[in-house]
Amino acid sequence: MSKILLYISICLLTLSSPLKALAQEKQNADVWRVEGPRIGVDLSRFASTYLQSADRWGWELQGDIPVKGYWFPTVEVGMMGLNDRRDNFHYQANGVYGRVGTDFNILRYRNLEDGDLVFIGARYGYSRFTQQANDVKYSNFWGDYNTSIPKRNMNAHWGEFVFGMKGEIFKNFFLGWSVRVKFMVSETKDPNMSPYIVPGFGKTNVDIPMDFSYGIYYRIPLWRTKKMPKAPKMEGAKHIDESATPDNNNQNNNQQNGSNFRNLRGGQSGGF
Amino acid sequence: MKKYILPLLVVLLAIVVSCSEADRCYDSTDTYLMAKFIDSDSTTIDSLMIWGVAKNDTGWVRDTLPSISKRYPLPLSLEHDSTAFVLFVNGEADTLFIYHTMQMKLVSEACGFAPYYNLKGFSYTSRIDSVNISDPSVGPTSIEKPNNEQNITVYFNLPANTQ
Repeated sequence: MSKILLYISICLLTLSSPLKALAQEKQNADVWRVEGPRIGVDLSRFASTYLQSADRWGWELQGDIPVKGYWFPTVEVGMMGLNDRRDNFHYQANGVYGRVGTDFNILRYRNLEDGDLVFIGARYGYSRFTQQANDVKYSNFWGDYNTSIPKRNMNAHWGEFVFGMKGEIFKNFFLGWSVRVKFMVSETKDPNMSPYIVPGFGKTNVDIPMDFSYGIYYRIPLWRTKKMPKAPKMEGAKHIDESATPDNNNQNNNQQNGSNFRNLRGGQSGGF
Repeated sequence: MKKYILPLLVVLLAIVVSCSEADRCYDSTDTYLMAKFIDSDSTTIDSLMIWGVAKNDTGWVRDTLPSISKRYPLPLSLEHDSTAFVLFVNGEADTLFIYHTMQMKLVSEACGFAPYYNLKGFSYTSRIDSVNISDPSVGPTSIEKPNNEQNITVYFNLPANTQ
């Protein structure tokens, strides 16, 4: 909230040009760009424990590190278990998973301190898990039948496309969410049951596997810089490039003359 | 403020998605062998009764209607690798042994498991001429086969004097 007020006051300052230079000098004196690896926990995994009918548990840690300001190579690791007790079978799946990939910030940073992201990304996911089914019951004309499917080690490989946002709520603390579309590349074939849930992937029996992630992150402030990250050129974003061309040419300069404030106002339509 | 709206929306969305998760079974889990009975040229099947062997008091099928090109769903044994039926055609009994292998497979999360059979062979008594397999895989969707399809066709060679 205080940050919003700050933005508004900055906007007002930009309008009144005599104050502009003064404000700018004051700003730049102690403004640094803080960077470092960001670690976080996916809160949605805990939520899903309570939202699902089946006894499902899990946790997931996520981490990323900025590269050239706009790229965020990401690692995600987690565990998941499902204990699904039903009338005619009792299914259990437990396992670990990991994902590697990268996010790319499609938003331009508005000033040195700005670390907010709207990102697209891709992941490769891998899971090792076991599954089994006990108390499998079936009845027909010939009578009742009881069996169990023994525990089996399974593997799965998949890919994900990610879209999401991360916003700095307090200094170095971020809240973020992402929406993911997943596609299974390969999984261990089990003649008795193809896994209906894969740790890290989710339900396999849906047409388009999707997932949400909602997390809180802490950026470890390992280093700081006065240099504004150079925005990569993007195809299909020419309208941004055009307006940003002068900035690209003398970015460091902009920090001093305050033309980034103009971007701040112009960039409002691009997101928060 | 703007910053908090989107995360909140997503939490709501996640709740909605989690709750609308399909938990109803729309698939069949009843596995039956679809069998068609065909009589010889000179005679017709006027009545048909099918018993499961060792289940003498329980007739599975009782049909007194002409069964030309009619199909019957036959349940197969879950415990054993063979299933035997006594077929009373026009009042006289024949026995049909069906040999198979079985595997329980998960149909879906909501429906649970169903047996899937693979037909291996047959043996039968004298009035059955032959058994033709058109589909050796018997599963819960076998019963949904179109009208002119079946797993097996049983050809009878009924002596004319039984009429």
